[in-house]
Amino acid sequence: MIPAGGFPGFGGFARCLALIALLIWLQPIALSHAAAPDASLEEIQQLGEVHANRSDRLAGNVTSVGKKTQRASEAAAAVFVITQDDIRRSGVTSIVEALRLAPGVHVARVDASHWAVSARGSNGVFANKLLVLMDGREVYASSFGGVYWDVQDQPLEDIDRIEVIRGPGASLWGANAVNGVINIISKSSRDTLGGSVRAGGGNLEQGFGSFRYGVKLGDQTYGRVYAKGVNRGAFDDHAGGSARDAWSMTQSGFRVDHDNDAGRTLTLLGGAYQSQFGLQFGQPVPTAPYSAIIRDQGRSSGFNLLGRWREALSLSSEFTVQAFLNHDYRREPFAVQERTTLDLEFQHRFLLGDRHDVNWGMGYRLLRDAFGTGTLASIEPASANKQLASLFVQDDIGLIDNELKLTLGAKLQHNDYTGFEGQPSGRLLWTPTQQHSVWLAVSRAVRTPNRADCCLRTLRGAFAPDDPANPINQTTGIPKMPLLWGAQGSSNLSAERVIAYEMGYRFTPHNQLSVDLALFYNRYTALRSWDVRDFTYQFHPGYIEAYLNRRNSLKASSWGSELAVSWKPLPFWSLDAVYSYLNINLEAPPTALSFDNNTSPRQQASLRSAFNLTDSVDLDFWLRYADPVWRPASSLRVDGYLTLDTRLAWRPFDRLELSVVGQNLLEPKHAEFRQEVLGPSLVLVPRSYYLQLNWQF
Amino acid sequence: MKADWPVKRLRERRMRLAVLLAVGLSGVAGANGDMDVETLKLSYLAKLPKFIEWPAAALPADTQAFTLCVLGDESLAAIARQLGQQQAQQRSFNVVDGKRVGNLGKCHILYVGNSEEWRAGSVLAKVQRSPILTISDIHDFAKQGGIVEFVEQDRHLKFEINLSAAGKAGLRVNSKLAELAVKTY
Repeated sequence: MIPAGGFPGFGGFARCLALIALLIWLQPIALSHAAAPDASLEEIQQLGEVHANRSDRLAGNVTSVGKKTQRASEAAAAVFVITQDDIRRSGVTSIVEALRLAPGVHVARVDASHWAVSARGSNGVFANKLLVLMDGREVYASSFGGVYWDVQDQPLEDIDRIEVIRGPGASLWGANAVNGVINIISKSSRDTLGGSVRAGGGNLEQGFGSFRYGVKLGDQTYGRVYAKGVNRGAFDDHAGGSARDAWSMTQSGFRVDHDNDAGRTLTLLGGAYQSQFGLQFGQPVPTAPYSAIIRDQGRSSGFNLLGRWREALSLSSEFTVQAFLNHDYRREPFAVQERTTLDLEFQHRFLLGDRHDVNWGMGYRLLRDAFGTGTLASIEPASANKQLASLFVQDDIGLIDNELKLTLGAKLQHNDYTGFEGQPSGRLLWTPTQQHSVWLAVSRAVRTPNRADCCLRTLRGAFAPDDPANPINQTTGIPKMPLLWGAQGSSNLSAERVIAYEMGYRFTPHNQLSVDLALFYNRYTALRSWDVRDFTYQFHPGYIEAYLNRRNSLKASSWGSELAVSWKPLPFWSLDAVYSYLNINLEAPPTALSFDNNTSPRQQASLRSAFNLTDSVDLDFWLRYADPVWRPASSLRVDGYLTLDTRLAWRPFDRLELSVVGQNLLEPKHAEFRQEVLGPSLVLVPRSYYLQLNWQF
Repeated sequence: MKADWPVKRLRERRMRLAVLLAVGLSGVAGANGDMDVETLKLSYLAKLPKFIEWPAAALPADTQAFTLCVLGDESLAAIARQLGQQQAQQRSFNVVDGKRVGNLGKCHILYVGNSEEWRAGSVLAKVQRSPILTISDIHDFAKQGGIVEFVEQDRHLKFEINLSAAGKAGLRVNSKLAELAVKTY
């Protein structure tokens, strides 16, 4: 329905803008008016009849910043919450695409089934400085680092929110939470009663569907089951043909929640998936043209199970016990991997006096893997058991009630590669008034070695015999021959380290506008590198293989900022603007080689408009821009891009929604990222559209 | 002096136009019936006490201000301070940080923020026999023995009332108010 009074002054655009500006200042008047004195019953009745809108973005709850529930506006960290509403109105069809909504996060599609996702730099398909959790279950892969995004999904309508923290979260979450933590949180099953069916298809999303059904199992016990399947078409390759990277995935899962009045919460959830994906990569070979394009099918499957028990012990303390099991299998032409993770965690929180809110806990993790040898990578030893033990403590100290809060915390972990690693942090939050808050943080975090760092040997390129750059030609006495080169792990490892200095400012003049700014300076040391003087040779008839040995000889510093502005000019219109800037300086000794440089754009921006044309029709636009990646005048450079998504949805009945979504509309196709290893040529993301039906019953 | 008049009037007219526009536009908002959840909760908080009767011992007739304790929700505490100037039933609100749990006995109204869900049961157990109007948006708060629970239903903010909990606390809930509740216990 068009609101009574019609739309304000659409006759003149300038007038409209003036009105909007005016509205920003007028809304607080409406607010103070709302909390009027002496009431009559009619007034109370009327309150029950108005539409209740979500408050501003910063008023939402987060749990990942302090391992407890707190408001986003009271977190001394750069946190952004992607809500269920954001996901629905963005038109995305997978969790990983939804991450584009957050500031400071670079989401780039490498091909149809591979994404590079990172925050504050160091992006790549195996981006290893971002820790990702699904409902508290870590999905960071212990084999090569990074996350296999193609298999991290679930029905989007069952997601409550995605908490995105930029900057270290290591004092609570542990190793690898160097540049950020992403926690994907699904709804409690008490909020997903009944059925939901989603089905759709288009030119790229060739057919997708999901089904969920939730029931009340007992007095305070609820459960749901779900299944989701996607079938996605191939992207275009650089030359204009098909990249032959079409893929499909099916998954299913369940969740059971029980709450009792005494403050006991039990959660059990699990899932299983399998996927097939086309892929191609360039394999260095000792004969001309020294690179063979291999096209093949990959396969992956797995399951997971998580149980959590929370119990209030008294008015001022509670504990949580959690266990999860992850099993993943992945077969790609260059490597076959099977990984099992068992994780146990205990956490205890208590209030101490008036000022202290203490959280402490300990954990144990067993990582077990087995690798099969692929065509251009091998892992030695082929299987291993690794253990990780952790202890953390964090204290929220109220220095001045509701005004100044200090958070001190540290996590101590022992891993089998580098031994003990300490990851402390200190955070200060100052809330002088309800409208303004400022926070400061200093933290240390580490990225611990994975199986690839210690034990992987992989080919990366080849030199022709006549290539002047061929190192063999620079050595006298050896006949000309092809050289295949690669990289290999080392047993002499150190963790990559960062000291991060952050500050943030939040401004919420009223419930319709919020401004969230974060600034950071990161100092990295002992970053992974390969030393060009330190080779291991292998001689073969007619060619030589040379492997560079892994080191930790790089340093880097980065600084940047992220800004998120959320504004609701009219009750039926909201705007979200996001901008991020990142600058990285790598300090490499002349003999060190890095594959991790300049893989993130310097600037990114997006503007999203969500407009309710009527109560049953939504019209959404989402404009996105990213600077080039692999910036230096390099053959690897990928140009920046500007693109637009749009969504039109109609709800003819309360529980039925039909929508049409167009994605990447501004260009027929564009590139977003070049895979840092093994990627043969650039794959282009085409313009696409799909139709979708969502029925709830 | 007279020469100033037209200018002044023009200015005045312009200002009135702006105000009219403002009222008109907030009217649009009002007609559409949109308010954010926080504002709604506050509005309820300001209006509900009028329909609750405290025992005279807990709220002598000459009490100037309700003591509203806010547990957990720090932002709400800040907003509630604004509410402090508001009045309900000729009484203003004296907003207190409920963090000092030992002081809860002094509260007339206790708002439990949803960050405190983990200990809501313990808090209720502690105050259930005291004349305190407990209010929260925590799921199943009323069922657990809280007196008023805000619930969201199809984009509306409504409330449930636990009359037997109110009885235990020695509070009398106006029967007309109880009729407005979506659910009573």
